[in-house]
Amino acid sequence: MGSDKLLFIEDLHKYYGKHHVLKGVNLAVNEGESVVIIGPSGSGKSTLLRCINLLVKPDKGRIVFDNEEITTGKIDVRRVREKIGFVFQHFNLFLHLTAIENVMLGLIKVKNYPREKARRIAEEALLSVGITEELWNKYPAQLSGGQQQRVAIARAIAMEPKLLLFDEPTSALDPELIGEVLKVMEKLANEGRTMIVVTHEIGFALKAADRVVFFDDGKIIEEGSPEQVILNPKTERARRFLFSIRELYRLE
Amino acid sequence: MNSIEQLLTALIIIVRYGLSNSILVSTLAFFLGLILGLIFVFIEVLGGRLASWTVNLLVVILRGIPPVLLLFIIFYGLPSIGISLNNVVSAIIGLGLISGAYQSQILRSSIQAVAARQMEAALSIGLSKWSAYTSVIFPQALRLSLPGLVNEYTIILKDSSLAYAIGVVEAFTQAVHIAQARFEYFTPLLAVALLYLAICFSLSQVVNYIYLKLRVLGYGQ
Repeated sequence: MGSDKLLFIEDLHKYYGKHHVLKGVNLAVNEGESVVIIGPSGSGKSTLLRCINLLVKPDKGRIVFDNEEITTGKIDVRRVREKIGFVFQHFNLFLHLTAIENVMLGLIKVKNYPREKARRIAEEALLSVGITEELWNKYPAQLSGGQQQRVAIARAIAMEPKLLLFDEPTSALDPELIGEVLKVMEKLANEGRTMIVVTHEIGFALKAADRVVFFDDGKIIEEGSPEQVILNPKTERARRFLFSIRELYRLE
Repeated sequence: MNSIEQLLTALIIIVRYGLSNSILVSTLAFFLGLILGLIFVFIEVLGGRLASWTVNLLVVILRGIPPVLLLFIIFYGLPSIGISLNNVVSAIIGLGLISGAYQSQILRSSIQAVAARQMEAALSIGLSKWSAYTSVIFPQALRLSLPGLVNEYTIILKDSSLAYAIGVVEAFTQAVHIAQARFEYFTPLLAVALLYLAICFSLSQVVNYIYLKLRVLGYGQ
């Protein structure tokens, strides 16, 4: 295994009861690469992301992250999660904390930074996603969806993760708020962060992804450059799915 | 003496010589119940299967006992196994035990309302399960529980009148004493009813205010 491989997934399986959700996923992600996973809802994309940061325990297969197998029982789960940022579809900000406190919590409780240092890092992270000072002391419910998701991204990047996972980060947003979140994500990809993004935003994939993976029925069906997979898919399944998405965008 | 005067004097006597015991018993019982409720819910959420099964059983038993029966057991029953408590303490413990069962339910349902997504987010930044509960889940669950807990206090306040049965001179007992002295029941009982009503109404306004505050934080839409 080359040392430039940050993440290496081999024959990953997951069952929910009798339901076979992941059916042998193989995926490798290089340091600095941004990978977009597209595919129909319910195909197991979210489960795959949750397996990578061990929110969901895979039933079979191997995940090697940062030169360490994380699918063995001996691993310190918290140390792995600390190195992986996760951005949720529904933001999942801590509702009882202000924007800046949301970002500071992990820095204080996980990284054990003193409050002052945590605050400085949090301010920087918030500014980098375009959340300016007047919003820092607002509660999540007082922010728009786009602002909430950007705070959630700040919360993830403040921990200086080696890998960022995005689970349909714009699916719960009003259409006019999607752009501000995608712009932040594009910036992160351009900064050379390693990220895996589950999304239906093919525009983002074409602009920011190094690689696109088409996922269906618990497995990877096709992968390649964004242009190739999105504009010229090889498999019939991918062609049908992407045709309907492209059709949708043309109508808009 | 006209009847308004009678009502007012009854009210003054009840407030001066009965109400303090009502408030004392119900407030201490409430906090005993809160401590028990927190312990119960901690065990249920963080403890093993056997521990949480035991707590569940205890809760079912406590909810199944009429309060007045528990007061009798504690005040009249326990002395035969060598535990003698005065009537005020007995009332506090009895009402507190039962309230603990109810408060654990209130807290548990709030925890369940907060849990799944917030827990995922807390774990995903590397918090331990313990920190996730103490810094994310419990603080929110407590806020969500507040209206239910204030309601629970009004229930205990009214139930504290049951302490009459073991001879605690609280508001209701005092009203009965006035009635017996005057040979007239209606006015003193009306006076004490108005008193309970006034307190419960004020507390219900507090509950409404808390709901408003919670909505600002994005709960309960």
